[in-house]
Amino acid sequence: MNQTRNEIIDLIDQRGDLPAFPAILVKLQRVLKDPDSDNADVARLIELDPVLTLKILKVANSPYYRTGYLEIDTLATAVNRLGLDRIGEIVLALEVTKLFLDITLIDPGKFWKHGLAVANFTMMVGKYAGVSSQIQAQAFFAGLVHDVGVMVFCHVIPERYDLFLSGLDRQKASLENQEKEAFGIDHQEAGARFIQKHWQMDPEIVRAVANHHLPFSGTALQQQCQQLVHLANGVCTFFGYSNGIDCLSEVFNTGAWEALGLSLDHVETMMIDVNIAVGKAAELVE
Amino acid sequence: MLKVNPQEFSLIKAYIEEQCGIHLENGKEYLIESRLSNLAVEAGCDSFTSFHAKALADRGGKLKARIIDLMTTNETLWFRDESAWGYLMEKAVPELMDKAEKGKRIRIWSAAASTGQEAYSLLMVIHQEAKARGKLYLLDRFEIVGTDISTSALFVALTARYNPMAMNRGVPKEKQQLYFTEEKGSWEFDQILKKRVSFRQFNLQESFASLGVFDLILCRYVAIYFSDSFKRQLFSKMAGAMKPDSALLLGATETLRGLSDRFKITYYKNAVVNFKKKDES
Repeated sequence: MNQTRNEIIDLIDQRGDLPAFPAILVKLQRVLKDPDSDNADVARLIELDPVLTLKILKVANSPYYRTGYLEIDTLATAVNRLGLDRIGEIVLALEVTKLFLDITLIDPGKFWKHGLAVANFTMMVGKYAGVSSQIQAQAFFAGLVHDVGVMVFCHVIPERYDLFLSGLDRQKASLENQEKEAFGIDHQEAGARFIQKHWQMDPEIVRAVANHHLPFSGTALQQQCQQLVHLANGVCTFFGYSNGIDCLSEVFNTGAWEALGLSLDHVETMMIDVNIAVGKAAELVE
Repeated sequence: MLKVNPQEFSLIKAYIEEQCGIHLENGKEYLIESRLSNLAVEAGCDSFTSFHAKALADRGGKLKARIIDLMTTNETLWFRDESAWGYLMEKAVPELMDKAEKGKRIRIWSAAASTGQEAYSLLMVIHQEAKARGKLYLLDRFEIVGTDISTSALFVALTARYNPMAMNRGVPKEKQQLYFTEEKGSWEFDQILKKRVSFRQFNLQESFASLGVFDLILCRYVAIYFSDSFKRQLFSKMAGAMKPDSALLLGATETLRGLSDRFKITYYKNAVVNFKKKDES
């Protein structure tokens, strides 16, 4: 078991063909963090990629994103109308969901739609819970990639993971418990390792990916992001928007709900918001 | 999985009994290990001793909420026990409907409602009785309250959404057709009708004063986890929350004998029905 685990960790660390963090996102983050840059700078950066530009315009004019009556026909208008935060999320979603599309063991479209639904829903839950915008932004990213460890397994140990998936007992135990039993490492840890090593992601995002089924690891402040992802993942999966593997899992743990200060009065609104989160995801995933 | 030694078992057992009334007999160490190991590891503990210390130091109550959630999760069935549901369908609900026809408001409590199956089963029976009388307006005179200690269970209850495995646990086919629609691989109970049940979080150790009084209480397969002393308190509080001559239904394997003298134990076919004594205030 330890040998298998160590072998998989080495594969994750050393494989040079795992997807790199999209270059445009690196540049975009730099521009967004620069206090001297403005909306026009962001628009100019994105316009260098005409395909991405067209996609953003399409999304900006979709029912879930559109603001106002007039069609958005330029990127500058899109950036001004939607705001930098929304544009950043859209670009992140469009670029990340292009990764791992060559995986055949699971349906990448369904996988990324789930990730996006979870990401969108973390923002909604974050608002109910009064969580800071910084943590909401971290949770969005972590929500998008929380299950990326599954894709990493499909990439680095495809035959073994294929065998594992075909022998999975979907009613007996959770995916992560069965992964740990089979490989000594689960998709949480694999995903966290990948984004830390290959994407140099912020520690809070890495931690949320590492603990999205264990929302009480770490300090109280660290827990907020992972609790958001945990809850959003549980609720989206509960409503049928899973990552395609459909294994036994609790909806969410009560402690996370209470720790975020949520009330049962939120449930009806959440039922509507999940559908909105999924609708927005469908606009972004091809 | 973390192992629990006898001393740790005593500590954790006492903590659980104090927090949610659940009494663990000796020999149930495996329950602690299987249900709480992962949480202990998640909380950064390498033993149940340190886990117990962490639980005691938990001011915010999050760890406590999680422990209670894990220790109280049970399987819930639709229309559990034919004898009890025979009584409800053939006698209790028709009699309550008669009272409703005379203008009375009827309150029913599903205590430890978990994911809502019992409360919605009751709603289906009441709906069918009202429909059979051609008097669906009588539903407005019924209030069904479901309570549970677990928010995550109540979340499921409020959404009224059940996976195929949960649906296979007792929903008759004709009721499935009448009251459920399939939605993305799961089944949703009638989303308008479900609003006739209200759910709230409630710990049976709390005072029942805020709940009001009821015409019928279902408290089935939950007291089996409690100590005898807690059961006595529980049933005494339940008697205080009931109108005279109203019924308390327990699970088929449960009894009030030796635990309460405030009820008259009667039988309807194979069902045990506990009526609050009339001279009780």
